[in-house]
Amino acid sequence: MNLHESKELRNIIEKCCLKDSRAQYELFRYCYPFAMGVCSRFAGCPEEANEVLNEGFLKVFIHINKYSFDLSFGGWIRKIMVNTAIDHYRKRKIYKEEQLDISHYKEMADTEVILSGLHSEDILHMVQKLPPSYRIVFTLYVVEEFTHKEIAEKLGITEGTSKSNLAKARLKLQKELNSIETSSDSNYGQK
Amino acid sequence: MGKSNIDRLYKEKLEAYAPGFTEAAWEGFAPKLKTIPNQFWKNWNGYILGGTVLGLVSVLVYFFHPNSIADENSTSLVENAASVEVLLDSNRLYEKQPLITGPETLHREPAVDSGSLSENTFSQIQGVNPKQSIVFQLDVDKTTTSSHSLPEQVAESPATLLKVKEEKKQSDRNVLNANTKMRGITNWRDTISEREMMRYLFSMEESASTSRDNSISGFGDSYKMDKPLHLDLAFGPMIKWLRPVDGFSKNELEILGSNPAWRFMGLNISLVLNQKFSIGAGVISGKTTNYHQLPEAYRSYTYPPGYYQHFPGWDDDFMFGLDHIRIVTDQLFFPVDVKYTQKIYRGLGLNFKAGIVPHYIRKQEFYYTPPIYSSRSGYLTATQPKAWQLSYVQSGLGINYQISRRFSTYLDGEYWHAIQPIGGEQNRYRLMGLTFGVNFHFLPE
Repeated sequence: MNLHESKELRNIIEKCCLKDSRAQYELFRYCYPFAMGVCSRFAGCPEEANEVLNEGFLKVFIHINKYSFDLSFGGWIRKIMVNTAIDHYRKRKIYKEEQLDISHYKEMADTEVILSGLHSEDILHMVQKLPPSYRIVFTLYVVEEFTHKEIAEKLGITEGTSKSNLAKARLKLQKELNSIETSSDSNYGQK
Repeated sequence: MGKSNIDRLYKEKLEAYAPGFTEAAWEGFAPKLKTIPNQFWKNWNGYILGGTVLGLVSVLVYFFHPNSIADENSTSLVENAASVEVLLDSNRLYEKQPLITGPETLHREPAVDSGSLSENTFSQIQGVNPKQSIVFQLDVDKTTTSSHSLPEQVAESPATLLKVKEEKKQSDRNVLNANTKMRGITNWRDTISEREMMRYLFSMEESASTSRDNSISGFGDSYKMDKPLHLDLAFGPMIKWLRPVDGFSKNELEILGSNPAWRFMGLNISLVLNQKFSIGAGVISGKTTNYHQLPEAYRSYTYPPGYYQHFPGWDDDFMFGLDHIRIVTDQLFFPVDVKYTQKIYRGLGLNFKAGIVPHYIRKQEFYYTPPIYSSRSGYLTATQPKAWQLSYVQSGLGINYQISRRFSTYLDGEYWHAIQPIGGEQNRYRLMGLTFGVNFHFLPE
């Protein structure tokens, strides 16, 4: 999402700086799909995603005067949403550690094929099913491309914990993919 | 474990998820907008503006309070009055005294010992305005001392004696004209504040030390000032525009267009030592944004890590190129300077100043923006902690203008040279700009 060259968007942002409610509505409508996509990856359910989204948009409208047009507006929104999601996670501190044996984790050769065949929403549901501590590390590392060091600083954990949680998240997702594969095989066999 | 194809697939699929907008989502969010607080008073400019307004209101209340108005009237009347009639005790003669027409005339008179003033005499002044009462003090004193303390130079010069005689005739005529206006006895204590009295007496002593002996005898004394030494306190708001001229940092980016200079608002207070020198101090606040547009080699991260500039707290893990760095600094400056003023024509003066600028960095943020073709979306930030530092030496040349007795204005061209980099930066700024301000004089001449 690279919107900074849009003159229309620039006008909307400038009006938002003046607290124009119509412009605020337009901006919300314009950015909602992108912002909700970001928030959904960090949330366990649509309600939680909506909560993060509302908090994030509130920050957007409070600090819109600080936005500089030399930056990608999409990047700016994304950063606010990610930080809001991290704050949300840290406030709740929902640690539900599961003891997983990650020594058997290895990527299967056909995982890529299975993933390619899945719809975005299916993968999102898989990620949302992850425990919060795994999900946030997985999303920050894989999607937002944070390093383990950055994740550790943001979440207040050690780098080792971050790496461990990522591995566990991958393992759980792998299991989910395997179950999908198995169920599709069995369905195929029934036919 | 590094990023694999599977990670990339996860990323692509997850980023592709974008649910459609619904009105219900807006209805759920819209009520929260009403909770947004007013940010203005959280801003430094708000504090400065508030302080300015409060300061001006306090000053106005202080100086335009009824008692102060009396002081003001007394001052203006002594400058404009044509003559003073003096009524002495019933057992003394009804005496007309030569007029003192202005402060300069007063300064020519010999020093008066405040102890020699007769309170009894003051209590019988009729219809004399406050400052006129003071004039009377001088005259009475002169009548008692003139017979034996007339300056020798006057006595020695026939031409001067003639002139004095003519002036006395003229003043007598003026006194007759003004005679009818000066009725109605008022107690001088009701109209003259002690503060005003003390100030006046002090100025008399100063004037005694700067009498024009040499000029009377025909030798111009160019080393002496025309006016007595004068201590004053000036206070007022100022606005400052500064622009980096170091060639590296910019306060604008090509794609953003115009942003000619940083703007700061603040307050200034000056201790005016005499007509020539004053010491000033101020506080100005401002949020500056500047950019470092980086060269191509820098963008493609071929520079060795140690060469990277403006990266507080970053280490060698830095693995992607940058297009530019934006640095946002929220700060307070405390400029302190010594100013030399030379009057040119009437109220117009030329001034030169030099000083230092201590600096409080309230917040400094670095925004690292990747090139547009970068796979990395968004940008990274680093924040420098709060800090005090001595940042600049400054010099300036400008003009000042005395608008009225209590108000003056000034416009200075300034040059600031950094002593050290600001906060987490590695660049030493050189700034040029203008300062415009208005001063209120607490103790005008």
